[in-house]
Amino acid sequence: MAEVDVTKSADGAVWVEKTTLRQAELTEFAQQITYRHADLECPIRNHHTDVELAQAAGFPKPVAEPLHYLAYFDNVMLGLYEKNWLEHGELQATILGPAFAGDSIELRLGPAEKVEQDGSLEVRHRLAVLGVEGDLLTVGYVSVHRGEHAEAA
Amino acid sequence: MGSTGRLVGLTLSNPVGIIGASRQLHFESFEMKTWDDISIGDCFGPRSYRISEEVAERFCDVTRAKHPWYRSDSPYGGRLVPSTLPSSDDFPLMGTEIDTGVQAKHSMRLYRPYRVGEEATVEGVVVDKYIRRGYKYLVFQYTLRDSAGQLLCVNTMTTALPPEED
Repeated sequence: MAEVDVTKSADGAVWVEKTTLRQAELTEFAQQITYRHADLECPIRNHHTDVELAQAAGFPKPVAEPLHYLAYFDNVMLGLYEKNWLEHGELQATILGPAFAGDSIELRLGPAEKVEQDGSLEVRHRLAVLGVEGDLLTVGYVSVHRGEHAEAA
Repeated sequence: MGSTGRLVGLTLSNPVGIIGASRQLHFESFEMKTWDDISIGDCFGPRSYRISEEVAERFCDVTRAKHPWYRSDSPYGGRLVPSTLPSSDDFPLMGTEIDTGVQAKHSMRLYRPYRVGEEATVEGVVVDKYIRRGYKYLVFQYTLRDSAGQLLCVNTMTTALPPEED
């Protein structure tokens, strides 16, 4: 069977989602990060929420927090592995480029691969996030280190 | 030596930084540290907090989380905080003090789920810093534990400041 490479193609991926990063969501995410610790009551303005400030920082439009769309992979892994994800899960991501408000991105999760690392077994899915032009924005993997799913992979 | 920044309301006044600058919100004026001021081994925190139902709900909405364990109840004795929510704990620990630049890498390791309303404590340490192709990288690791000291999750964020323009 040919190796699946989600950075190059969605063929063979176990999960693919195309979505648009709406400005309202970027703003809400930015506010979540700050509100919960700072108890702020006024709207936040920064390069995630405001076009002018994004341009002042050298971007054409407000920028998405990578942690925003990485949360989608957490949702998928929870659905697939439940307790094993929550107790033995790992995410590794390298951010290669920005995603902007209004951009349509594609998130891909590869099939499970059994990996032995440091003497222990883990089940690993490679991940990729692609931008409007099909350019890679983020690559990495999510994995479960122990438990029945790793043993069964 | 730090650089002085000033916020007008909650407006970003230092557009150079991405993560750091985006999270400088508290003060009318503040003394910002720079990459050069930070050393490997520098510690931040501890800081304790609880995630409310409202915050968990809003985070689930914005990240489109649908799993019932995140939305209502779980086998762990209550609703769970989405695993990636504490991944932004770099902000309360160091985001108001340091201009760290753009996010380059992120690592998250989960050990035990964190329940809504449960008290947890996060603390962080700078585990590495280096320069590559002119970019100044900082590697910050922050660990979340419950009130008994049990490990919940460890996040490691690598940020990069671009080369300064001549």
